[in-house]
Amino acid sequence: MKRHDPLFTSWLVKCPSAEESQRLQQRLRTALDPDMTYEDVVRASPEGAPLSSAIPHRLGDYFSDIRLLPGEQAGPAAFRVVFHRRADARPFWKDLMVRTLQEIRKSSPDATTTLEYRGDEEPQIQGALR
Amino acid sequence: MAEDEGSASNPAAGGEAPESGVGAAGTIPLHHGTDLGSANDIAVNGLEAARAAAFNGGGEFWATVDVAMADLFAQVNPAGGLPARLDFELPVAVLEALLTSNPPQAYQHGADVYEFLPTAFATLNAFMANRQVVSPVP
Repeated sequence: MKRHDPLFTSWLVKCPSAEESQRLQQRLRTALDPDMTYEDVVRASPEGAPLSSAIPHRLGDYFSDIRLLPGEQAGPAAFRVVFHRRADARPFWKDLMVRTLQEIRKSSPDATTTLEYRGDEEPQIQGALR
Repeated sequence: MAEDEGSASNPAAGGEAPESGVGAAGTIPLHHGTDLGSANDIAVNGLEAARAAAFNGGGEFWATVDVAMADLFAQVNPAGGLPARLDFELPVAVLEALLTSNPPQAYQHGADVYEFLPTAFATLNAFMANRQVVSPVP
């Protein structure tokens, strides 16, 4: 099997309440800024000598955009996060996406994240919020 | 990739113990998110460099101590297959030996993720215990 990474990945986020959904989206608008950088701290200790390096990963280098969209039929307590991967993104794009989803779960432990779509065609969801 | 906190001394390796979920028997539980076919293949046949390279250029194998993180990776597995999680345990002393070898055969990313290079596969295959495949994942 060959590796095929989709250009679009859409997750449905369900929150306990509409208020929590709004709070989470507000927080994400900052966290998903293309200039936000995640530092991957890599460690090893060859022959017992600790080595550590921090590799910066800028969101905008991996994603053309990351959109927050309405949950539609899922109701006001839900919203969607659509990751649009850059065609030339290095494999770490998936790590950044998973880290973002983890932040959602940490920020709102009762929220659920469900993969709704993965593919190369843009998902048909109306009403962009940002 | 993934995490948990914890510590344990490792006289055999003489270095710092990994920062995660160390079991009472000196093993660390690790999780790898993938597709069902790959999970079953690794569980039965072990890791093989050529197969790993088919999915990423470097052919490395990634695992995490964070079950939820592995589940997320499973859902976006590159094969597009049925999501699955491979759970296994690795002796802490073995993990330490891989991290402290020169050149390193494994790297720790953050507190929760381990990257194993193909040079580590034979060791992993020998010491990966209690291999279990979980599918579907939450």
